[in-house]
Amino acid sequence: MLSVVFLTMITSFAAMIYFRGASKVKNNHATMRFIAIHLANEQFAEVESLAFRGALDNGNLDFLGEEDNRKNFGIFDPKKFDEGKISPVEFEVTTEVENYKTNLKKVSVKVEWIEGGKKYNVEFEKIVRVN
Amino acid sequence: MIKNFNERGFVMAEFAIALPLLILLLGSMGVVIFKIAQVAKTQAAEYTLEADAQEIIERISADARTASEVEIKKAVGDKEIYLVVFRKHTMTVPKYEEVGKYFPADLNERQRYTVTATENHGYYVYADHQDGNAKPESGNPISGGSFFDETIVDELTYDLDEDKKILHISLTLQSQKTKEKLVVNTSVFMPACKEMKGFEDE
Repeated sequence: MLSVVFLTMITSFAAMIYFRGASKVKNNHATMRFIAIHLANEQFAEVESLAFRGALDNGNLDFLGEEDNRKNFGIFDPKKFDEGKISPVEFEVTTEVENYKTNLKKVSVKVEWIEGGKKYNVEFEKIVRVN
Repeated sequence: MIKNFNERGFVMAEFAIALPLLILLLGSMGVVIFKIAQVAKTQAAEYTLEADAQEIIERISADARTASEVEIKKAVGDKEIYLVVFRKHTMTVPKYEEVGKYFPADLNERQRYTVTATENHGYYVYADHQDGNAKPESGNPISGGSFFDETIVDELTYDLDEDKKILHISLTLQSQKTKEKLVVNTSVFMPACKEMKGFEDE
């Protein structure tokens, strides 16, 4: 009987480790962060282009890239995608432009998203030259 | 030694309860071990998918950023796959008398990213490089071939915005093991770019 109790405890413990760990291993956070970084790069490209054309003003900017790119499924199963069983994560991109020196401006881009009820973000700064 | 006859039936009862429980528990442990192995396999495949996507996007973005010319062509095949050629003219060609026999190697670089179907697996991204008037080197794969998983390119498209001097890149990679996909979109501002050619069928 003691061995049965002992085995039950071991199995329960293993199952507990698995079920606690599996959700962490399977979460898409690293992929979403990678996608967010490239979304920020997309925004920087648009902002730099504005600066190059002499049209960059101080203040806050909306996302200037392709609107569809703000939604991403991360790593997804194409079958579930076709069946409409998965929904994309939506990224919020906020941008702030301020004077830095003479013809230079400081651009701050923040990308936020909610995944599994938790809020994540990445934030970058870049100095751009205004023509 | 005095034998306790009352305990004889108890051993059988214990065995009758313990054996099915033991089978059940060993089965459960087997399921847990199988699930853990499955998660590990999926995890390795997902990391490979992400690493390959990162390598492709970053290599192409870095070359786009410094290119003075860009040309996009439709690759052969049914898939939405394009190839991109970047040229970099980093300096004007000096006269032979001024530099002697040693010419700088990076006078007129050409970097091409194409997608090539391999015999066994599928579509890998290849990079080939050419200096000056030399013949192009044979391409090197920059995706696929990982120990953990094989990734194939499902879609690789470029869109040029000549007015903004921006190259939009969209990549869809697929894992061969799990069949999962990853879509990455980004854009690169090309400040030094003087000539942009949209895609033509090749």
